[in-house]
Amino acid sequence: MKPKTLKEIKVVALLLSLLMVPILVTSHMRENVSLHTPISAESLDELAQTYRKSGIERFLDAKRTLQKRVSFNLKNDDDSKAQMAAMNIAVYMFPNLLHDTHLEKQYAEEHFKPLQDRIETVPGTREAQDNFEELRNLVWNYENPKQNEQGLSEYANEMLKIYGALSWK
Amino acid sequence: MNWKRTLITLPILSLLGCGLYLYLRTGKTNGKMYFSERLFSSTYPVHPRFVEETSQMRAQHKISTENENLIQVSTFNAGETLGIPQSLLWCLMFQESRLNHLSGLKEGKLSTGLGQFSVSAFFELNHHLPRYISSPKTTIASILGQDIRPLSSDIENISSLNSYYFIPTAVTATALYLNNRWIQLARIADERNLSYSPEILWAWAALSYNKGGRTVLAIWNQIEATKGTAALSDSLSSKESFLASALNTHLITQALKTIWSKRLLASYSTELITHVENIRDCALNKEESL
Repeated sequence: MKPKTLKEIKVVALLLSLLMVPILVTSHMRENVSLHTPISAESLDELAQTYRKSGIERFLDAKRTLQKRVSFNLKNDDDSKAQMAAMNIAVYMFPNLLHDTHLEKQYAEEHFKPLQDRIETVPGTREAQDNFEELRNLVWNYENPKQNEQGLSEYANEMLKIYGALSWK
Repeated sequence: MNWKRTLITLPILSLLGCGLYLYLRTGKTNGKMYFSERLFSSTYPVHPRFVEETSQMRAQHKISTENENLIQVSTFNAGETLGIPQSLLWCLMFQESRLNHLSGLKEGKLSTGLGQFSVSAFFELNHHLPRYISSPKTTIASILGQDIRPLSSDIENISSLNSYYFIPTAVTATALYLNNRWIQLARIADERNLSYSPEILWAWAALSYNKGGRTVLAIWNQIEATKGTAALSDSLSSKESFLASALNTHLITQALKTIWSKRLLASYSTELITHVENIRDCALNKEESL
């Protein structure tokens, strides 16, 4: 290779790396801002709205982003409210994020997760609706077997709203 | 030389006897238990307040002798087959419906009958039994002679074997649902290698029957977070620790705070503790519970 060409490559590489620095910093900051956004049952409502407005692909993207936020907030000892919200969202959406000693992990992984995965694979079909019916009954038995006026927890309700929407379109 | 033989065999027999006694006290076979009647009373209800209440129910014709006997026999049959302490099963139904097998029928309530079954409980028995017992059909047939599924709360045909308003069916279905709660909790305890007494786990299962598995797991999580794993195992193994935890208002409130909103927290905690007190007074051995 000619020395001139080599020099040109070096200059281009330097310029590119200079360009990459602000891009990476911005991306990192954006991710950090997203992780630090407050988390609550409303985060699940936002997820349901994403599906209604933008369809399954955007929903799955938004779900992945929420998973990162839940993961971050589960370890956030500075904010107990956010930590509790993250724990509840994890039980009903991301049980794999729960600590191995958390006693709800096994049940949620074995019972809720497989049904949710199946609904996401074939949204709006009879199969999805059957799976949703099963999911709904499991959650009632898990939280309020008498199905009395106490109802379900906020997080269980929001999760069922999401998968109800996915099942019935 | 007979005395020599006696001297050798006596200690051996005593050791075998002790071993058998200890095995029967705590032993498990294929996930089910042998009863020692140590925790649960063989006669029930135990507390005088419940004895008096049942006498009044008879006097006021709130329950007929025929129905009472049918509940008793069905409780025995289901309890024997599934390994459920009979006093617990009877007391659970007493607490849920005051043994009124038609409870909630006229009012059109969401949960009805002896064990206050809801739509989700029917769904579990009709669709999810194989998740808990290997051959539901055979198990149910060994209690009632034939399968009772699909179960329903059909008000048009309350004497049908499939109806939850038919006493033997209601008792069997209630027993199956309670048995599922025991298995669910035992699997979680096994997965975490938590030691437990099968008898104490029945008491936790009764809580799960009434308030849901999530409530019980929230309490277990709270015990472990505040007092450690050994304390949790103790609450699953000793009657004193079980009662100390399940009747501890602060612990229960802290546990339920992780699930329920402030608005529901107080009433929910009170209901749960009342439920534990009633089970303790109705089903546990008098000498130990009073």
